[in-house]
Amino acid sequence: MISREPEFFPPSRNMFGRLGRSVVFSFRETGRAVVLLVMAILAMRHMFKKRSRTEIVVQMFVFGIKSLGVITVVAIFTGMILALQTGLALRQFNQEVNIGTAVMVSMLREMGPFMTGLILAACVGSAIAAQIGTMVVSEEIAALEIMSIDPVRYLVMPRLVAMLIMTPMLAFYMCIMGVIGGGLVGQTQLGVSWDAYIDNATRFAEVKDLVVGMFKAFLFGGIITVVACHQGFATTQGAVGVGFATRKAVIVSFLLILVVGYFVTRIFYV
Amino acid sequence: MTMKDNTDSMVRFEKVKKVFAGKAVLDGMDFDIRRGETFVIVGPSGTGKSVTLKHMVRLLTPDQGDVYVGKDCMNEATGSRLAVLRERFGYLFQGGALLAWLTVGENIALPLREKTTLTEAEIQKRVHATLEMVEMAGDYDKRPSDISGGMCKRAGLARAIVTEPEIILYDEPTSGLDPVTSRTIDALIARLKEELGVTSVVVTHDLHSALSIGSRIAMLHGGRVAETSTPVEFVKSKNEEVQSFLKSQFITEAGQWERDAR
Amino acid sequence: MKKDWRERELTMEVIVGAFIVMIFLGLGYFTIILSKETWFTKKTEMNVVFGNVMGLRDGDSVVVRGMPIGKVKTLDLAVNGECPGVHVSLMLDEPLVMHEGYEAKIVSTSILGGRQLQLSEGPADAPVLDLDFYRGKDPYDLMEDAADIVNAARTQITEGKIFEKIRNVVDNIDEVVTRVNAGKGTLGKILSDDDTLYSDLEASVASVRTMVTRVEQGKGSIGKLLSEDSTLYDDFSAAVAALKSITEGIENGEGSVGKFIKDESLYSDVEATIGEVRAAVDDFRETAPITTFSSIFFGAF
Repeated sequence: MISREPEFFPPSRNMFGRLGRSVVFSFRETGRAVVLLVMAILAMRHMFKKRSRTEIVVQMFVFGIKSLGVITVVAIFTGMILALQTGLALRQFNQEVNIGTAVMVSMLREMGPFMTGLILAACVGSAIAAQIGTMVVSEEIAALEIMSIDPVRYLVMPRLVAMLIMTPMLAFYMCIMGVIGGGLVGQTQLGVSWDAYIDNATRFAEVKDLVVGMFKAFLFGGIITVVACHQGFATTQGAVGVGFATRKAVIVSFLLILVVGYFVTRIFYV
Repeated sequence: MTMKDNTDSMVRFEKVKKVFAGKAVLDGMDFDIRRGETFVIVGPSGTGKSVTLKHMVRLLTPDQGDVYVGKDCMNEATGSRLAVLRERFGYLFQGGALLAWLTVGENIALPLREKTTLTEAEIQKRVHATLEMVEMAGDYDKRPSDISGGMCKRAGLARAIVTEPEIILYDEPTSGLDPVTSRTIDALIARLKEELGVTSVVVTHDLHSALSIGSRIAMLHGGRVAETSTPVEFVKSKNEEVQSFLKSQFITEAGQWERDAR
Repeated sequence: MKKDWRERELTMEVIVGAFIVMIFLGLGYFTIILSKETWFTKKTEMNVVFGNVMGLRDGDSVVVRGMPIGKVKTLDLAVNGECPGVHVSLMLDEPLVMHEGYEAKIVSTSILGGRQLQLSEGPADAPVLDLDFYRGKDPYDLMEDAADIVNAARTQITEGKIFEKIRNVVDNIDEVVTRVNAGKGTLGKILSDDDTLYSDLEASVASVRTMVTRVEQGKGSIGKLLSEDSTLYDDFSAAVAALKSITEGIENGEGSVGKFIKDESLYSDVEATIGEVRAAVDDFRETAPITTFSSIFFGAF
């Protein structure tokens, strides 16, 4: 049951009651989000049906291709900043050439997936939350339920699949763009030739960095979609609620991306 | 009454109670909707009209009491059982509840595409026929954002009836519409009843509409049915609530209230 | 109108598909570059056994004459068996002929860590070896070595001979001075009566000299240290020089010690020398750990 019945709890009298209630509520919301994830994964069995396929491609286009612009700009500038900062520090030791490694490794391991996650959480996550929130408010979700069209299969699953595929792709794209940006700065500002830069960049990065980075991005994609959909479905109180759900979706995704990013790094590199 | 006296019950409420925010919105609701009739639920805002409607399709679950659809108890149905029960209903939401990213035609085709194994050609045929029925034949490719509120409602209605349900639920079909459009919708509801022979449940606070389309009218007050009667009896009712409600819409017994249909 | 939608859907599908194909090509290309695999050349395998691999990891490069020619494939710990140690198997891009006198060692690529395996195939005229596994040299552990040096220095300074020796020198000179002080006025007498002063002085000089010689030769870790730390060395040299000049003065006095003693400068010379030696010892004691570490570190750079 995705549509929620309005709930009412009498106001709690003391601080502990309110605190306890908010703890219980946050557990419940977490549980619901996990249930939503499981339902979406179960709904993936319909993934290869014609209509789902079409919908997934459309969502991939909307999330992926339409985010390419902002991701390109962010990626190039992230690479440029990384190259400039490390380059200026390394210049003191005459080691500017190592910006290649610095940019490549940090983009692959951390910055690529992380920045992609943040951008998608801000662009796509908020859009999903707002869209689903609006649908809840305008009773479109209820309409789907009455038509016995499972909103999880119809709405969440294609978005989840699209994001799970697109986020690693975009993260990789971001890495490449970042490395290119770093190279530009290296060539123009730090006197590191393009060849030396690329040679240095590929020398120390490993396949593991790439794989772990993509895996991270994959997780981020899942987190963003599930959080956004869950917050969207949890929307109450009309248009105000939509704004609130959007805000919360972005905040929660950001936090989870940070925390999960840390733990993935911790698991794979320590 | 021209309605044939068919007493088999389509939707039955038994002592349904629902509490929101400490206030009993439905407080022992009892009524029985019979096959083929147009049951109109009226009452001022906040008396639980929409809530009643939502209980019929289990968008809301009663705190106490039971809702029956035919012989099946709605409260206990889950999963695929609930899906089967819900398939008997068409539901027209207040705003139409069309999916914003689909065109009108695709919205109407949606339940057919998702729930049936019809071929695309059959789907197209039925969608166009339904559009014709709600007088929107040329609007297949328009987006919900590009059409007026009244058209949204008609499109929503088209989506509700395209699966040929037994029961159609109308949530405020005329609210927020100009009187002319309201009467068009009323005519549409009446026509659907005539042509498809469906059971209709209409929730409205528009008495003009209620009186013109209803076979029976139920007045809600305090979470209960205060009065159930035919339109003719309704305007003559001695019930205080009914009287004040009638007066608020300038309807008197002396009235202009001659049913045109028969 | 309907067709429009179909067309748009098709466009989306094409764009998404193109993007994904592009990314996959990129990913594939990247994987090949990053794995530093040369998939289309024939590989040769080679095994080297080390007593200690110093944190060498699989994937580290194998270098011959400064040129990377392959990488470490696996590392296996063999505690028992005919050849205990770590069996390192290498994947080389081209076969490498090893001669007698070959060397395999693990070196740091930078002071911040990172290792590579350095092979040198041995002199070309030596007989060719074709072994199942080659012996690797135990790596040169910078930190362990540093610890050794520090320890040696500490034993030398605290319980060892150097401090003792220096103290002996000082004691000797002290005694001379005391005697000179005590025998004021009768200096001539003391010196003529007794040639202890002369022998004392000479003994002091000798002991300092042996120490300095040892130091100069770079004997032992402390020697290494001192030879690199110029102030300490200078201090010692100066002390020795001063003592030497005193002794030489006495020697040049041609037996006429009395004449030499009359020279007012002797007394102050001797005292200054003592002061210098003492300062040098104190200096050494205090700065030993610091100089040790800094010399190691700068040595490493």
